[in-house]
Amino acid sequence: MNKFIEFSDIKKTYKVGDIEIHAVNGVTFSIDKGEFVIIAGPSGAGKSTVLNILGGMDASDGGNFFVNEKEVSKLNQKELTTYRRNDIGFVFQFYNLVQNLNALENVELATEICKKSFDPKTILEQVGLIDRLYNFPSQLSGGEQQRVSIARALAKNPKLLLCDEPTGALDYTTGKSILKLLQDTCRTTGMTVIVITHNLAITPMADKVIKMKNGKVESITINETPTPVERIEW
Amino acid sequence: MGKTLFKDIFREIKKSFSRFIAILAIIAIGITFFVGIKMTCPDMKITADQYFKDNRLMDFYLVSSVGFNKEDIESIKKVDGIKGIMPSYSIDAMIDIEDTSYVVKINSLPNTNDENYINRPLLVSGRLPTTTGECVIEKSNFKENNFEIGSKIKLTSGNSSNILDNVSTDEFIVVGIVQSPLYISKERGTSVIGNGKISTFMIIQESDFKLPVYNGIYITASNSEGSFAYTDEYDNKIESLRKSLEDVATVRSNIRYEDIKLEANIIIQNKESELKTAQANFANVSKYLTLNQKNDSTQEFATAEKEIQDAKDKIGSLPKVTWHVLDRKMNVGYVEYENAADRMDAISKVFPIIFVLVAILICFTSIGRLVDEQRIYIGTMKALGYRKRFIVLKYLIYASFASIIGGIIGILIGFTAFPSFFANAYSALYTLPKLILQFDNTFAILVMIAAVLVTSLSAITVCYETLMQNTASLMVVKAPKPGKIILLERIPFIWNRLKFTHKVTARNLFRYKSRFFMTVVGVAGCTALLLVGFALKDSIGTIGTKQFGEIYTYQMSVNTKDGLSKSEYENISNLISNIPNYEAKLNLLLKSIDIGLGSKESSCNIIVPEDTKGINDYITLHDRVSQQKYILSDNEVILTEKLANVIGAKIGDDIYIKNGEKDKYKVKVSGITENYLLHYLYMSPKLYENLYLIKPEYNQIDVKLTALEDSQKDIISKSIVSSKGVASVTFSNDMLKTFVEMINTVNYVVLILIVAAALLSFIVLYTLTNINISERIREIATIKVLGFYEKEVSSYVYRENLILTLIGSLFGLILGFYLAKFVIGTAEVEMLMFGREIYPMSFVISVLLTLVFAWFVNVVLLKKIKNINMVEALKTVE
Repeated sequence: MNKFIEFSDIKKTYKVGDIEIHAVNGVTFSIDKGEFVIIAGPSGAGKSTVLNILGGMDASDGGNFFVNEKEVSKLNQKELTTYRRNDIGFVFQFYNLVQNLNALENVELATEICKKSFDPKTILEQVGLIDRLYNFPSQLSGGEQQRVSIARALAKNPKLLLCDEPTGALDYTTGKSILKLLQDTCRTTGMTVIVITHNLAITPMADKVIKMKNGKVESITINETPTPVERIEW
Repeated sequence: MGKTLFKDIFREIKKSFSRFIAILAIIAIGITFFVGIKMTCPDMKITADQYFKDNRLMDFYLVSSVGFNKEDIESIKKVDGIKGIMPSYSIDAMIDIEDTSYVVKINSLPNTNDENYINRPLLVSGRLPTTTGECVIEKSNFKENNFEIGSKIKLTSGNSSNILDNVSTDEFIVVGIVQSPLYISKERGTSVIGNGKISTFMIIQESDFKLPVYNGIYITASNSEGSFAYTDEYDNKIESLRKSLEDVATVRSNIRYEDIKLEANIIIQNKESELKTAQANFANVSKYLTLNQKNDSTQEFATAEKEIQDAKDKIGSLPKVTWHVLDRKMNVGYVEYENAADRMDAISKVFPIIFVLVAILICFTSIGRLVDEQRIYIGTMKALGYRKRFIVLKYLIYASFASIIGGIIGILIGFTAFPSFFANAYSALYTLPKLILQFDNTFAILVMIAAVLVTSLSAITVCYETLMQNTASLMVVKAPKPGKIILLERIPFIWNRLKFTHKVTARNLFRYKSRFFMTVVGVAGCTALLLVGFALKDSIGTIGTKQFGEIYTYQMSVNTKDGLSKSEYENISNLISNIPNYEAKLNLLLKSIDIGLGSKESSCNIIVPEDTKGINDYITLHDRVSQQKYILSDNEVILTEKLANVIGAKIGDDIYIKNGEKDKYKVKVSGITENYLLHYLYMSPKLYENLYLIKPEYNQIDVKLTALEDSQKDIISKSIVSSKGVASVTFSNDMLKTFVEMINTVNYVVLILIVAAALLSFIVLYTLTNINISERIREIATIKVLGFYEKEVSSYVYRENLILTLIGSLFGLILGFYLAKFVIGTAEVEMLMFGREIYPMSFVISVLLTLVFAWFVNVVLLKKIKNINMVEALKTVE
């Protein structure tokens, strides 16, 4: 029970009409604090569902899991919100920035509600957007928007950063720079980062790779020497 | 092609059902209220008219100070334009019910087979009296002491006379329960017996009366049959008959006066000759009489001589015989009912404005959202080669379909349930047969066309913009509206002080300008409706409290009969001074005159106070706005406010007072005084004497009393009413109560307006907030993911709503203020001025209620926010 994240036999079933779909069908894994983890697999493998459950956005139907020795699978709605608020940072494929707020304000939106948050400007500087503080999302490129989104997640000073296909909507170079930002963040701050991708080529950059297929864990690989993202080509 | 289109439309309706319902509902509600309130007035009037026609309500009622004899009736019968004529007997008597005495008006029932049988009672149960000793009595909705068939009623005269002098028996058996077109309101009139107020009426056979002359003559006009009661047409048609009747009245009242004088003279002459004979006899026999006998006789002769002399004096000062030609407007119930109906009509004028605005608004938002959601569909249709016209058709049919169904529902309810609701409510105040519901085809069709036009035009307008874009750009999802710096940010002084979440709210408010505008309009409409309701209540409520509390500061008013001798008047005056609660009194002359300015004329009452300085202690003469007191001078007059408005007079104007048909006296207006009920002109006794060349003969005494209880009022009233020459005794307190009751009718109007406002705000806020939430679903999901608690999420969304509601309310107060002014202006009747004040409380309540409605919508939609599935909402591509 000394692992940072302990996921045991988690299940999630969706009902579509009369058909039951087992999106996640008994997933077990553990993650150490400060690890950079990639969950990879084809679409429909249940990656996102795992991430959503881990992030407290969705509830599991079976099994239990602990984050930092707290049994998250037992939390009620309100406690889940507190968990999301204080422990989790989320990064989405489509950024999900609030269109009506500029970059700085989008980050402030997150720091407003956290106690031990970082200064939004500093964080935006760290992600390389010090010149774009007052730009609205529509005035930013995709990569820049994703940086704002990451800054927003980081500014909360979460214990866990969850990224769902963060490069999915970005071109190759931009995607790479975003992955670098995530990897660097993990290394320099010691934050646990979990990235979901269907791109198996980037798995060498992770400390741990969890491969999923049909709602089950196919394999868990530990990279003793992760490759810096700059040196990965795909 | 057509089939596929309709299939598509029906699927669309199913998919966006709540939006479809919103359009349908706003149309249905708008039409229900508009048609309903619009029809209530004519329905009420036609019901009354039918009742009046079926039961032959009189067009004219003649009364005379000496009653009517056979010759009077014969000469009236000769007048052209009379359809029916019914002389009638009537007396007031007392009945005792459980230790309390009530005044009952007893009317006569003629031969019921006669065409001329007027004011026919409507039999509720039982039968009409057929023999002596039988009666029918009113079945009243508002009296606890209803009699049952078979019960016996014992009558007493209520004064020193014997009831059996007037009617053949003092005990009547109830054979039927009736209601009468003569008495549709609670008001039964005043009496000179008992406490002076008539409680109920009963009808007995004409032959049960033993009166020497008829008390009144009811007349119907032959030309009024085709026209409806309460219309100008009716008023105009009966005018010619009134003229003829007034002519007869002048002639006959003179003849009757001469007759009476002649009769009296004959009696005096007889007496004189009797006396002479007696004196002659006395002279003949006096020598045989003792001294005592002689003295007695001389004394008797002296008394007789004096009596004869007194009688001669009396003939000299014999009051003129007066006839009054009264019409339906002298019947309180008839007039009150009309006012109640007209008030409804005035309210109906507010609805179209607000509901049309809101209907357009709902259509714009709902169809607008639909079109936005279907950009790709529209693009695809265009790509497939469909014409714009065809694509628009879908939304056009969608909107029209909603408005047609809504319209039909609205028309059905509006024409039926709505007026019935009001009739039901009013049945507590007016006794009438069941409401007649009219269906007005033209009106229904017009309303329907208006509804369809409003919705379909909104739909076309909103589609137009999207359709004009090129096909390729339609295939791409519409980019979210970009954020922008708002004006407020340029004022750092304010902006930097705002909390972060407040900045977000401020941005959002300005970002969605159309939503801003629409919410403000919708909410403003809601608040305005509420304010109109409360304002109407205030202004009508004010009439009583101001008139009988602030303007009339006396407690009791006694009117005397015409032609009293000085000593009789003194008697009454002394009687009043001896009341235990008596404080002070003021003599006044009250009489009806016509005044005018330029081409405008109006009837009014002239009031001449004996003490011009003291009048302000009884009747406050002051300017309504400045509250500055007026003093009655000896060469100028003071007019009441509404009267001045009617003839268009201002302070300093020279108006004329008519005396008869030819004479006009010119006088200057020195003041216009606050007044709500009836029209008055105040004049000093000196000016009166200068104009009319006679001293004013006072006929009203306003009395100030110390605190008095209801039980004392009855005792005081009885003691004064019973004395000779008193026409009526009224207490300001009782008048106040009557007006308080009048407000009850207004309460229903207010209730309806509250319901309308609630529904309106619900639809507007629900639709707009609902669409707002759908549009911003990703944003809301995002902040949920960020860890905003439920409360924080809802306040994030609702703070804007609250601000918009407050802004809307504020505008609503302004809109409502002017609408109220308009409605009050239209609802006002000529003889009445509604209060001009809207109490601050009404503003407060209007806003508070609006906030409550808004809060309710938010509570309903809270579930929707709560149920937003973060995963689902964020999965879809923006």
